[in-house]
Amino acid sequence: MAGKIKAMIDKLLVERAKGNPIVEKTIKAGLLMRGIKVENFDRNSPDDPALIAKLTDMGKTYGINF
Amino acid sequence: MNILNAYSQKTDVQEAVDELKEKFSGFSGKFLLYFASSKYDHELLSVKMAEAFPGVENIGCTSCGEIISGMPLLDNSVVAMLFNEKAIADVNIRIIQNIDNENCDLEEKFKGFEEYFKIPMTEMEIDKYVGIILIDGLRLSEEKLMENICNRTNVVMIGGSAGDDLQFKETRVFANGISYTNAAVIALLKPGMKFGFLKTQSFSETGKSLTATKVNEATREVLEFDGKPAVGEYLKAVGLEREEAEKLFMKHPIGLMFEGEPFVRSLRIFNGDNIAFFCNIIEGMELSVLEWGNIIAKTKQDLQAHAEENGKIEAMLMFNCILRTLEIKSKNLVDEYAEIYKNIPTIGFSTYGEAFLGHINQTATILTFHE
Repeated sequence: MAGKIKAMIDKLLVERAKGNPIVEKTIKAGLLMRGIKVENFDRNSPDDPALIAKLTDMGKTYGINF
Repeated sequence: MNILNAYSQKTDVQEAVDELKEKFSGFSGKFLLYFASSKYDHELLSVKMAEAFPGVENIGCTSCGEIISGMPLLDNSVVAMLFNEKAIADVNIRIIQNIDNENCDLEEKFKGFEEYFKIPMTEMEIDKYVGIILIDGLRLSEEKLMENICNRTNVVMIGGSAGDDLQFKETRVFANGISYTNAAVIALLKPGMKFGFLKTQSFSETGKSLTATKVNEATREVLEFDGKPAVGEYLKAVGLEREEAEKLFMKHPIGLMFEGEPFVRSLRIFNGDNIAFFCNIIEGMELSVLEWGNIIAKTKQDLQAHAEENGKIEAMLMFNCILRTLEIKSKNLVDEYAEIYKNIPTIGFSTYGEAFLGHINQTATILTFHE
């Protein structure tokens, strides 16, 4: 399977930042420090379970259903 | 004035606290922040500070050198900043203990914040709340703690890791009269003034990059870059022999690039073929090899740009990496550095790591307050 990480990142940014560009920027920087460089992922990126777990954690408290 | 700063170089705890109290007399404080040399009796200091400012919520930590506007970089002192109710409309303090344990009580503390402010942490707005975080600097726990915090809120937590004057034995954080170890304190603030964040460092990319392909996150070690022993690949990238490179770690850290600026990761030691860092590096991370530049010019430029964007800076808190302090001292730039913030009421300290969206090195993270 591929593309899940890109979809999760997009959803995380939309639902946590709610259109606030500063929040979006802080989330992207936070992802980078977790080893997730947003620009590196597209629809063909493999579904790495470790990265999926990190993204799930970042959405959990916000009730984001991936 | 809504924010005052003061310092004392008295070596006796009671005398130092009395001097701070005298300097703040007649000012009604809501929140007090202080940074103190590890040479003071930490338990006595935290008790005396709380006694001297009854009813004022307070946090602090031990340091590795203290910063206050109007003075060169200090050692063996205590610096403090007192905010009135106009500057800090509301504040709540929580202590997170056992930070070296993944199951520390962060969730419970965040519930405490929510009960106090009557709003979920997930709904707090980034421009209405800010957290100041001070972390025991010797537990290698900053990354996990900051990750767990950022998972739960968009509120920015800015601060640093407590120091102990380069003894590397014990660092302490303080909250309302108690001194803690293996802990972090968070003061969640609802400022009454506009506030902003600044992250400044003075490095540029060399054009060389390294990808971490094998790491030990627990020890902050990189075993391999690009599939080969880490030390060898690093030496190739910086073009230095091992002995020379070991003396120049501060000059050539590596960094995670974000919008043209690095989140710096500083080298601590060559451990055989491995490299131990002051900050975690995760497998798969692409890092740029950096080279230091003009720390004075870059700090001044970043501060000026920040003021132009956010308005005149009325006060600021500076969490300045100890490696920056060592660089400034080694280049005899202490007076020039102090000149940059001479006219902005400032306190800060030399940290064992800076907190801002994560754990970083060789950076100053700064919280600014504006009219």
